[in-house]
Amino acid sequence: MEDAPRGLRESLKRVAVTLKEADIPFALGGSYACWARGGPEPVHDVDFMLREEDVARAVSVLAAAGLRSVDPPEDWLTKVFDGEVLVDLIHHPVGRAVTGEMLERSSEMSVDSVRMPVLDATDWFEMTLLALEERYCDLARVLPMIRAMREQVDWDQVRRATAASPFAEAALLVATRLSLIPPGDGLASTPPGRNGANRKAGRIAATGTGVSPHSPAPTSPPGTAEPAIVAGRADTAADGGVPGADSRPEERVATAGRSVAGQPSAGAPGSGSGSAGSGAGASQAARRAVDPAEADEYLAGDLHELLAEDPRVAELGLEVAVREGYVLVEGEVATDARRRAVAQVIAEAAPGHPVRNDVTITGRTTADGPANVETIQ
Amino acid sequence: MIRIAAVGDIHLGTDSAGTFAPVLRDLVGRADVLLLAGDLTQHGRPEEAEVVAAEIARAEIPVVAVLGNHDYHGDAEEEITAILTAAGATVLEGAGTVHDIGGVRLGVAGVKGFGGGFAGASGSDFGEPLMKAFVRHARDVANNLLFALEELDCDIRVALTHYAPVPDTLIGERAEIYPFLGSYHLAEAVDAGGAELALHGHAHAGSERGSTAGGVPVRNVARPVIGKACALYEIGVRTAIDAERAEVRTSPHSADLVTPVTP
Ligand SMILES: [Fe+2]
Ligand SMILES: [Fe+2]
Repeated sequence: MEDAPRGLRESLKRVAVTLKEADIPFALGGSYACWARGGPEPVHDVDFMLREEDVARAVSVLAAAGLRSVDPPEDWLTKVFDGEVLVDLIHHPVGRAVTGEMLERSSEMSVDSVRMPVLDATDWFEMTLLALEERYCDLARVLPMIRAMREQVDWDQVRRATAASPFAEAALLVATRLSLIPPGDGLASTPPGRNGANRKAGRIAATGTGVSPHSPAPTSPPGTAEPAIVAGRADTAADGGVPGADSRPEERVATAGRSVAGQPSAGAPGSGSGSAGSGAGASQAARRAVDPAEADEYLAGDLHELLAEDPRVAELGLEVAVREGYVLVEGEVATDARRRAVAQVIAEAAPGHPVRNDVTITGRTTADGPANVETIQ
Repeated sequence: MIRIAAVGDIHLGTDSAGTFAPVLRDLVGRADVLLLAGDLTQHGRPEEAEVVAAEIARAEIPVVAVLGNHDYHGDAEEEITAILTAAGATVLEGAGTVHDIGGVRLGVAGVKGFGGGFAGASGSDFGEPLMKAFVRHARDVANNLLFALEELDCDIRVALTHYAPVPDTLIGERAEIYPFLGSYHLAEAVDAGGAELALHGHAHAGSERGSTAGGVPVRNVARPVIGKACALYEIGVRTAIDAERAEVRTSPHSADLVTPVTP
């Protein structure tokens, strides 16, 4: 293992030089991109990011250079071996397509004396945090990377892009509490129960379009659905159509993030199927149509009314806020079943919108010992 | 001294059996009467009212209730009233009831009430038929409360509503929805009808204490507001001078009451 890094670096450089000579756009990704940006040196494999349409050509030029290609069962990457060293050619990290824009955002850096494009640090963290999941959420690996790259990253953008992932949220919370990164001004950084308004509009790529925050309007068609990345999506009209976005953040909040791109028809808003699991009496409460693609404030209003009208909840006093597609509900209900129904009703009415259910349960309606007695006089 | 227990907005559903009966058991020896300020059910369905009825059926103290908007949601308010009445509760809508408590007659006048808003920010009997109907209904039910208070032959009058008579007890709710939470016409009735205390629910995010323009204490006893199973209020009454005090009811009502004996 002692020699592994040197072998890995040799393979890394060989692949990079080969791709460059063939004029195939790519960027160094994975843990070597982190290493190039100051992080710990990896000892496992080498990752390159390519557009899917370039992968076949890349494999053939690499094969011509003496590498051995392997077609793995995974559909988001392909692999080549340089001797014993495994090199991943990734075209759909965490379900999102690698795009030309993403590759253009990468920075030309010297990696072990060879200049090559290295994946943008913000993109890199979006992917890395979105890759965290229940069986792979070791923050001990992530924190040193945050430490190493923190000043190269637009953390608010990372927060928005990863808002749907509880694992990413946890990582960002820890990093924030450790003062490794600045506190977010948006939802992802606020603790549950304290809803802050996300002040910047999300310009996060819709699933599979691979458009990133820093890039012009998306052009790629939607790719595979990746349910984890639903928060903060903005449609391109809103994106381009909001003037003075950076100087007038509040206004952007109102218009951006309205679209649930990638799921245009999945909505079947308030469809009849929503009545599953509801009790009798649901009938006349006709699941109202809620258009999940409308402006945030209207969606919030519609969901507020829906929660009052749906018999599973029937609570008039819940507060609903929608920020960049992220639905937040606060308030009190009498039972845990109704609390769970809140999330259910919203999920049915506005599918694809991540929900933060901060609804609490009114204290048990039981006797509670000596109560304070007020004297009315 | 009259000890009043009160709570509103218990919102019992068919899954809530067994949750409220313990509250009543606990009140034995601590309260003379329990007032329920509406929204006893979640969807206004008779089967939910049956749950409420079962919870209060073994009450050892009188239970007096008004219904809330939730109890009307299923268009079964009459059936619900009948179910609760059969369980021993007194359900008031534009009516009153008197209970003799240790020689003092406690009168409770109740009405669900309605929205409409508060002085200076209220709806008017003007415009579309629906708007006029809305505002007229609010005034009608307030008048019903006044009549019910006036008809009470008692020593102490308490007004029980679901909707709020004053905005004080709505603080915590969004100001924009105040007109859906109550009507100042209810407060007018409370003052004119000589109530010593007004209790209401409905505004879950409101606050407990307020007062009418006439000085009558108003308490929002919505379950989420009081944060406990029920609120307890004591009204000290010097029964020997009840008659005299009744004569001067036009003065601020706080003067009608004296500091009670503290337990
Ligand atoms: Fe209520
Ligand atoms: Fe209510």
